Amino acid sequence: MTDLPPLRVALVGNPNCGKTAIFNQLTGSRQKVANYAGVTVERKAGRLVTPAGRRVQVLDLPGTYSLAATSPDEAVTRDVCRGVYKGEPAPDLLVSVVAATNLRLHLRFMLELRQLGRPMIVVLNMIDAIRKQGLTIDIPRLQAELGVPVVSAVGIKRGGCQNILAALDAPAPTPPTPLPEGTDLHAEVRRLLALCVARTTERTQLFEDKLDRWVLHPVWGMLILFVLLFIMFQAVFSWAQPFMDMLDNGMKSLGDHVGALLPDGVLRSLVVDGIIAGAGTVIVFLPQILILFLWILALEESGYLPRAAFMLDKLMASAGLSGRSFIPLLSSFACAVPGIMSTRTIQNPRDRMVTIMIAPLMTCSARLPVYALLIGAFIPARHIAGLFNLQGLVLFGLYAAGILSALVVARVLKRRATTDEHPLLLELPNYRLPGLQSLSIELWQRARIFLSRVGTIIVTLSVLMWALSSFPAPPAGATGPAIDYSLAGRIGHLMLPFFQFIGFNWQICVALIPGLAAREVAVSALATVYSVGASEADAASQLAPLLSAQWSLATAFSLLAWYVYAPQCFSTLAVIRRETGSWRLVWISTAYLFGMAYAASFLAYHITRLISG
Amino acid sequence: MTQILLVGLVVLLCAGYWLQRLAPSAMIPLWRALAGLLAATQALPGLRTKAERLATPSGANPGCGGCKGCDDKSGGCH
Repeated sequence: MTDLPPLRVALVGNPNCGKTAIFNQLTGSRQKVANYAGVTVERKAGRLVTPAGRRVQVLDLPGTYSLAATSPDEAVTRDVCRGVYKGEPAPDLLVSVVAATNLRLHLRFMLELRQLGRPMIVVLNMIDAIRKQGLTIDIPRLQAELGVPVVSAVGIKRGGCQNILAALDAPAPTPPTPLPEGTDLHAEVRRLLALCVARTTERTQLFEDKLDRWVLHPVWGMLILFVLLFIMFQAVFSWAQPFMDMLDNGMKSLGDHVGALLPDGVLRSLVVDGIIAGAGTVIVFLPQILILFLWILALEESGYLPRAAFMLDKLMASAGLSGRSFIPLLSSFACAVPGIMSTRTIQNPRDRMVTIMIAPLMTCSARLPVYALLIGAFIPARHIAGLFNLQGLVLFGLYAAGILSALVVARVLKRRATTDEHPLLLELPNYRLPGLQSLSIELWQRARIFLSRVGTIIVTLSVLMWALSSFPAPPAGATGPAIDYSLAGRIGHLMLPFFQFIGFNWQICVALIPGLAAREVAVSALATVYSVGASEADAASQLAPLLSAQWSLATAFSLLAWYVYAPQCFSTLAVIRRETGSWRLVWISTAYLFGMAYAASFLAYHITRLISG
Repeated sequence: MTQILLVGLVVLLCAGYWLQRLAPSAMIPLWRALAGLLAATQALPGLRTKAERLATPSGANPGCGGCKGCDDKSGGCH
């Protein structure tokens, strides 16, 4: 390895040209990649050593169509390329990534970069896809015309970046001579295309074009979107059940074994009632979360999501938002944190603020365990018309309630504002069959994230919850249940006067507090509180039947309604603070979500009581 | 008695974990003391480096806990 300082390289290009896929290939990172524009909103850095032993630091920059930035993420790319990014020297080499499948658009930005007069190489990514389109690119000719090295790559294939590594090992290219001031870059692109691109087979109507006629159809397209989402929620309940039963039985046996091994006392209570009851109850929901993500990831990779954004543009416009808000809102179904971060792609500051405010209304995956527990406990697992799973229908309804509420809130927040957001210009990527390997890796990542949350956040909170539920011990001669005298019992009873109007009991009140750290902790907290207070030994593993026996249907619906709107977790609040740079929006969003949660629970509780008598 | 001590230690560790997440500045004196102790005893260099990092106000991980280092240069979020 050489002792030279590392070569600083920046990957620059249009959105969805495959920069992050190349970055991951080069550095061995696992940054998020998807088949749509706007996934990377921050600069990311990684390191690599070339085959010749040269150390390289690689920057992955957000995609942009031009150096005239119009949104915060594009400004990062502009500043880094121009060498004015705070605390970041100008890169030694610009790697202009160009999607070979979209040269007309991407070469224009490459020429704009070339005008900076910095050393650069051009990477023609997705070179395999262009062959399928019946086109060939004369790479030596393009290199001669541009005056910079041009190499081909396939960013999503293992070993697809060898040419880039070879180019990094070659002597540094001389900076290109900028084109004369006032050159029409579009005309220059047309000239390059005429010189360097040739069609080898006749253009026929592609399968993609045929598919888009249906997928982008105003009626059929909406129907396809609705059916896809509907099947997704049905699958969450129908497919996951056998795996959930397996995990449930595993947790029960673990509790029994550990209970039999440890001597009676506080340690056994901590392990069985605190850790296994708390964390074990949440782990059971892993299959449902993975099935939900399997759908989302498959839709992401297929290239369908930008088409869904296109279809929903009109709906978003009716709420005063543009389709640009779709991707941040969609990301929020996984977690509001990356969703809020990806609002950086929104140019209009007011639209950005409104999207940040409504992002927490999208049902994040942390809410799924709460929904699944209550639906499993209170909604019978029967089929309607022999086709639709009732539990899946209720889950679909809860997600729909969040989405509709978000649109209503956006409409209210923007009722007086005149929007000057640019009209939605969306690049529709090519359809791609989701790769089994990449899906498996992404799912494994999701499982790891979930299990690491269980191992840290949920286990530690379960332990604290157990301590609060177990101490102090009841005074001598006390007649009530021991947990009533504990700190948790006292806190719960203190909160009860405020929450009893929406049907909550003191156990739910206590579970709401750790639920602020992460929403799924509410499930583990309920399991711990009921386990510590239960007389039956297996209460820990039987939370659902225990709840259905002790709660009314009205209380269950009230808690479900609460979690549609429930105030955000601490991480979401922290990221709102960071993205907006002030506490004002943090307080406003906390207050309005709390108010909506209380009002929705109040209505759900009293209407259900009225109907069920 | 051993059980109570063990349980007390586990509960304290969990409380420390949450204090570090919610109010990292409150934990700085503890990390500083630990780093000093480990430096004096020349023990556990890995833990000492970590304690020294956490003893600085900017050393705490600002991420959401779902993944490693959302804000870190090499990190990624979800």
